[in-house]
Amino acid sequence: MKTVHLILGNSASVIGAGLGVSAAVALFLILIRQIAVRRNQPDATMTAFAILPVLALGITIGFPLFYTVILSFGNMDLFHFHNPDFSIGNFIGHIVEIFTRPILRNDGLGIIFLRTLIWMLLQTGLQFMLGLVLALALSAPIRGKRMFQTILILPWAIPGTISLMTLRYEFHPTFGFVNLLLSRVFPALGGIPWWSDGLWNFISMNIVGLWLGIPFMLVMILGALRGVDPNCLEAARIDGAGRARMLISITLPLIAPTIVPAMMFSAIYKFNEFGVPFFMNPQGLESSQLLLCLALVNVGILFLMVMLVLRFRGMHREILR
Amino acid sequence: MNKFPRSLLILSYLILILASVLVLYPVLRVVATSIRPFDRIMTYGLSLIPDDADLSNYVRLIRDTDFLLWLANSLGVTAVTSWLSVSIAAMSAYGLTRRNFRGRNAVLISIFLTQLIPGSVLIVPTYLMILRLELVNSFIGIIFAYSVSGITFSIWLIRGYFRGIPVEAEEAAMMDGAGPLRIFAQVLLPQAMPILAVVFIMSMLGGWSEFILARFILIEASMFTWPLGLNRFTGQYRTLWGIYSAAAVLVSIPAAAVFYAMGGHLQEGLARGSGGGLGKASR
Repeated sequence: MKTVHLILGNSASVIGAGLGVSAAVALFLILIRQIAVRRNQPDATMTAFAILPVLALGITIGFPLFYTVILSFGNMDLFHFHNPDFSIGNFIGHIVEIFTRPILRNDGLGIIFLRTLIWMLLQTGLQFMLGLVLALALSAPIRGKRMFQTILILPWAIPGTISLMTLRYEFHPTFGFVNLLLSRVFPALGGIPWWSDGLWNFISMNIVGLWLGIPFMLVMILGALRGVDPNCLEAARIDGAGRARMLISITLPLIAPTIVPAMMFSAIYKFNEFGVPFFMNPQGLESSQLLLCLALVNVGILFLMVMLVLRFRGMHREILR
Repeated sequence: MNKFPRSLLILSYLILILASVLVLYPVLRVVATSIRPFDRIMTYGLSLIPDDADLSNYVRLIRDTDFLLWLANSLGVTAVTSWLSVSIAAMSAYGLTRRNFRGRNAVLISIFLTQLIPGSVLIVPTYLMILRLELVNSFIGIIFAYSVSGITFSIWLIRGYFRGIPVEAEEAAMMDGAGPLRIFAQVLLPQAMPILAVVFIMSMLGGWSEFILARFILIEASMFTWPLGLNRFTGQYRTLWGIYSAAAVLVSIPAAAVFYAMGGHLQEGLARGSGGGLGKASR
């Protein structure tokens, strides 16, 4: 009875909040439209529509980003939470601190950054290689192609939170199935300390990251492979190319325009990944923790990434079209 | 074509079977745990189907915990935010596709760049912002944040679709004296239904299992969405493993069903969206 009461109450406030947000959006649109009409702009409604995403993203992303920069000038901490001071000196002090003092209990910026980089490269590289192997196996003339494909994209279909919470526990040193299975097959190995040893913890993160990430890459590669003209392969075969040669010289270059952007997206995503390290490290091991919230440095990397992506002519053309 | 070598065929089967087992085993193990009697959850065995399966975990989940409440909260938030998200994205895409104004490219590039900003950088300032605005324990903050979080990609997808729709019908409507709002609602949107459905479902799947933002905003237990509630079952020192598994099965089935029902559409849309957005792929 109590539950029913709470459900009804919460539903009412959810709907109320939804109506509130809708009303705010509508008000904003009307306001912009009025301004545009006053200034004799043609298509005032359309202008309002086009400015809508700028406002929305400005609130959820632009403002916090701006606030980060402001905060980097302040001395906000446990003792100065409500009335922090702001000065250039603070800013310089923070920058020096980031590079010279440990950020976690022991680890400094360099080692954390390196670890994150290794994580990103390992994840993106292995994701592509394993995805390619699976995609090629799926394109062989096998039976049950649909069944295999349905099974292989299952990790994508399951809510990520569930997978992470479950797999975190499956790496439990005593009760998780990973160790149970390993101790059956290789009794000499003993229990691997997935939760308490930094290196093993990092390995478990990578395994789980791949389990979660390969289906996306697999679908991308399968889509790209479908676009490869069989005539090209046939021509190569007539010229005497072997299968390995055809894969390296024909198929890979042909799928590269699709796969490279996907890998780039995946690399950015992996670099910023929070969920896997957060869930897979239940004991808060420092030696496997990844970069968490290093605003300034991350922004620098971000610009690098942005430049990389922007360099991609295709995207630029797409935007400007 | 020449005959496919037998050795490669066998290798393909081996790879696929191995991969399928690796994918299925953890999933099936959760299902198996959920139907194992409550007193024998912790097991050293690896077998999947217990001899005396029953549904006691499901009964306990629904009777003894607030699972139904969490589910209702999640469902409400997800439904409202998907609706808002599609509306905002569709309106934005309309403005950004059918109208040429000064600074349009700047808008497009800047909304695309927001997608590259790491979420973890924004966690601390967002949290402070939520504190200052006193949005902790209110649904307004979370609904707004969820509605906006995926719109960049949605705008991209919808815009691609709008561009493929010929403008003649809209021009005819304009000749007949219809305003832009009317053209949008009665001419353009009905033609764009397929992509709107894709965007709606993607936004639903995204909001359904979001954890980090919810963790910051919803502190009170009666307002939890299911990811927060389930996380309570699996603490480091106390794990209600059977009940957790039952809940995991119950929340995963609808999400997976929707995902597979969308199947081709979703994958196609994604391939077109990212490929088309970044390169000359697939076009």
